[in-house]
Amino acid sequence: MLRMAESVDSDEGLMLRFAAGDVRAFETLYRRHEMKVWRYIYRSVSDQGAADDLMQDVWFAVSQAARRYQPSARFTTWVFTLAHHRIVDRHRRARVLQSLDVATDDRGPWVERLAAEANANPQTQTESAQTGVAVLAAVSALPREQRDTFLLQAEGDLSVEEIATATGVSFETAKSRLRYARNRLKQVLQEQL
Amino acid sequence: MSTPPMDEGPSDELVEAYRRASIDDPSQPSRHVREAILAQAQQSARAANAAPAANDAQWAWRAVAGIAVVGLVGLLVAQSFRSVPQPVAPGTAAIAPVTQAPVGTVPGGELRSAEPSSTALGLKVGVKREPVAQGLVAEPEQNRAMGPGIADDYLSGIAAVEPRAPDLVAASVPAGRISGSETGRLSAVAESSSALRGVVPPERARSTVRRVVRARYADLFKPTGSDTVNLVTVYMNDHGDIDRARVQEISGSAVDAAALTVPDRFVALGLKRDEIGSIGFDRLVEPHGAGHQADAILLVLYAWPRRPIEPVP
Repeated sequence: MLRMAESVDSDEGLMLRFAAGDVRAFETLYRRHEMKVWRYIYRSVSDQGAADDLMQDVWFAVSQAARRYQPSARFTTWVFTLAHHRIVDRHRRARVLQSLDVATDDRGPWVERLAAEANANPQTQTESAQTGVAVLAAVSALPREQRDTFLLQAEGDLSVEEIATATGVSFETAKSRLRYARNRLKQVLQEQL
Repeated sequence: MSTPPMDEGPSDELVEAYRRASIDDPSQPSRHVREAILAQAQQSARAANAAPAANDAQWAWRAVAGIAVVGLVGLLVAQSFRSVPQPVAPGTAAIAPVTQAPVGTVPGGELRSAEPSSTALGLKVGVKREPVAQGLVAEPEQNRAMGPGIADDYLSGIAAVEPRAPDLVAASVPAGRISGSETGRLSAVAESSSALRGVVPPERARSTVRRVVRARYADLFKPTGSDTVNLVTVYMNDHGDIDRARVQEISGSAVDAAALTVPDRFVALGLKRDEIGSIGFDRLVEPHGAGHQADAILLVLYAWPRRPIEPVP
């Protein structure tokens, strides 16, 4: 058991308090991680409705599993693993339904929306806004597995080992994916900026 | 537990650039999602508060009582499965009834069962006699005393709890001309199931099939000893009515119940395999039917809709 579980304000401590019936602990935990988990899901599925559904699924699973929760790993690793599995399931279902002759574009609508917002008013076309759009567009353009790995690092703050555990691949595979993702992002950003 | 995130600590500008861009992105979960998540958490918290503590003495007693009940049920189930087929010496009762066999649900006279003992048929349906059942053993004479309907339901009860009835029939009844008495016994034990066997729900009793088939196909009975006999294959519905049926005239000398009680017969009716539940075989007898000196018979092959607990045959 992790030492951090002993602290009532740690994620793990909050989960244990919630398991004992303290709903405020869950609220604290949720607000702490809401946007990170949301962005991970949203950038992975590129659809607001689907992201909402998955977000709800993930946090329902968290609250339902609270009584069985054992802080043997970081809470963030666990919750991002839950999210990852649901995203993968959704991709599998979508692949079955997807017509083979339809070219797919993983680029999410959020990239176009951000680009449109950045270009809407010339006064807002600051360098940082353009950089932001370029970064997000580059992330969106990554192959799915590389993007997933990068997002787990950037949003979940997961280590390579934790990413490997969450995605069910070997340490070397996770490391390799992360390296490819980062190299591609660097390359794209250097070209665009 | 964890290795440091790959790359380069403070020089990891890539992740920082992404995070800055992400924060500027106003997308967020819908309000109703947030509300649903928090509502679910409240519900879980309430459940956690309502759950008994591990050191609650009442909880411990309930657990012990629960285990005792489960153990008792297990013993009862094990007891019911201890019965095994045994060779039966000629002249002795071939069939010992199961104590919980239903009684009196079949209209009297529907099936002749007061015929020679099963040993004369080559049937080797034996149930290990338990002392408690001895007083209830239905010797042939007792069967006669009870009347045909009751005796039949004793046999139906056996069929309902005997998991390998079709195998017994296949092993013990050679294909050949079936006499009235043979098929009477045959029908009693030939109910097979492609699915889990257990207590037969009342709405799926064999008597239901008999009643509806007899009502609809009264003109299909043929005298015993005829060269051919009519076989009605019926697929029942959950309301106890005939969903679909097929009538065939088959050779009276080639009736093999085990060969008949197969799902393919119902697939031929246009059913999917996953729609086919328990399958049974029966023989209806019209004693000295109108205009006939001999009894008239009608063979019935039936199936019920598959229930979710039953495997696909």
